[in-house]
Amino acid sequence: MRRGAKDPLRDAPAPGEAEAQRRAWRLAEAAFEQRPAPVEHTPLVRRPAFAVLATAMLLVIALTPPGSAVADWLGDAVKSVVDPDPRAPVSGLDDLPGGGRLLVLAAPADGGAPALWVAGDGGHEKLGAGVTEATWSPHGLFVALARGGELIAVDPRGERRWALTAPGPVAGVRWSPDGFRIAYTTGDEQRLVAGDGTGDRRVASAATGAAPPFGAPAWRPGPGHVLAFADTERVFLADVDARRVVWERRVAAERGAAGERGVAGDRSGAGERAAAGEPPAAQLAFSPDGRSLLVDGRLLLDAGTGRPVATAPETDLTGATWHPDGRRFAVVRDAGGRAEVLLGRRSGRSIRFRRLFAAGALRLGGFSPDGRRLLVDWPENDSWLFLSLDGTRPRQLTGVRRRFGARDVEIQGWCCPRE
Amino acid sequence: MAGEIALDGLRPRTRRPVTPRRERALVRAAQRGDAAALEALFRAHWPAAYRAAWFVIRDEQAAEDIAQEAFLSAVAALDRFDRRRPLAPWLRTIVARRAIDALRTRNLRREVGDAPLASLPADEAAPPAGDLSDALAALPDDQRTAVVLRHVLELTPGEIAGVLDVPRGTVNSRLRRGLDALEPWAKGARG
Repeated sequence: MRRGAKDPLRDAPAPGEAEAQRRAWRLAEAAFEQRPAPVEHTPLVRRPAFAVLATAMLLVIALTPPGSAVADWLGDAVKSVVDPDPRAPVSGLDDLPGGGRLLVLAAPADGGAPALWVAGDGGHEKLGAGVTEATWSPHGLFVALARGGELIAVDPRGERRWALTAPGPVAGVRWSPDGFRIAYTTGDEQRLVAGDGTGDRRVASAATGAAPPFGAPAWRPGPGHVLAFADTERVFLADVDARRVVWERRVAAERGAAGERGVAGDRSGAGERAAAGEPPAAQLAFSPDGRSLLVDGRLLLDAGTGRPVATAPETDLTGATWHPDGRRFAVVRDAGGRAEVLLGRRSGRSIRFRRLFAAGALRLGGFSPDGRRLLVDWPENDSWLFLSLDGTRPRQLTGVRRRFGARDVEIQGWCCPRE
Repeated sequence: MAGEIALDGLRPRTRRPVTPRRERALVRAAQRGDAAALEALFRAHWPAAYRAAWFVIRDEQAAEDIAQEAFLSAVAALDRFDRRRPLAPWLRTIVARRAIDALRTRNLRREVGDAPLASLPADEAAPPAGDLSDALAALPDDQRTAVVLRHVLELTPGEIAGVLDVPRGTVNSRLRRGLDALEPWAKGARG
């Protein structure tokens, strides 16, 4: 068996194999046909037409006030832009570049309570009002939303599945990668509930209850239910099923300016902290392979041990989101009244950034499910930019707030197409 | 597989061994948009992907989902795939990880709406290969998984350790115990 086991196992057909192969091939073939046309990476020097167009574009943009921000972007990233038009329009909310569906919080122009919308994949509809935060379940079959002190699970049409009432305002709602747990914060507690709404319990509570101590937690991708959560000084990794802390790491020194000055974009308790003059909790993002934990977009911890493996000198980074390939992540840097979208990558013990775009104020909406697009909210231009990392042209959806009838919108998540 | 089965949408043809060099050529062709090249890659790698998933999870629907998702991921990532790297280990690792995730998920007690309960194992599934399937099914999950990843997906013990998130020595131990348990079957098979 030792030497011969491979062959009989490999050659033993499994039940249903032929039918499954036929169905899978149809899907794979369809997916293959729907791919965008391959990008030809012709050297720029052999593309005089592009060079002329790009130069003309730079001049035109530089001479128009609205284009000054775009000029920043082109100045840095023009080499990676295949099509010189950086703002090819998107027809509407129903068919998003990158596919999938967005969860969007829209604050009405009349000052009413924010409403939650699902947009993309052939339509857009409002799920409910009074929502303060929302997150997709892993496969986009459900949405967990916070409404004041309530945590509610609904399907993508807004039908309520279950709800629980927390001791205080709910924030930092995160669905585990396998869908079986939901973590959230309320008051001075990090809490946990099963995906079916049962078994609500406390994971941790702060020693002092002056301000919401924990930021939005992050689930470690992979087996089990391992949750990272943080206050302003420490990051914890806990196996919530075994009810034990795997490691604890003080990050106050590494956080530096972020811990002192505050970080925008952390929805979990950020407002309360700012009002109380408190520094924000550390922002956490696990790499897709679960091996690295990114803190504040500038400190990379080994998820197994909690030890720092790389840092970046840049500060004031927010909204870190990993690319599905697990090698790159995007952040927004507040650079003195101007925001920059940066693409970070670990390089030895440091993190190197490449600027993708710059403008007065920007917020990250995340990578598309297929990893081809990075969504950036550009509020002063009332538009969404769908930046590309693979050389295809960026796209722009204009009049975003007008389309939602809102004074402001906030992207809560970008998930898969409807199943 | 003895004989070639004509499937809807798949052109019957003699299976041609995919050497690393030919695989790289097929990947390059598929990246250029050649559907026939993609089909050749699909035919070469589907059986092992599906069988491994089935042997681990022992449920047809779940095995189909696992193998299917792996191939759709491959199609989606095709343009970004490094042509110098072999496709098979990457694809098989995806299958292995998803099969392990499915197995662990199935073993969790608290089921919720987000993971369809239809992925529960179909115990009544007919054994596909007689005694071998029965012998495999009788192994504990950890041993069966190690044996399948090693001998169906041809992952190295180091790769298996990475997928299972356990030390390599543990993988070797599980493989040894699993193969020891299958030894009577192997002797019988050898006559």
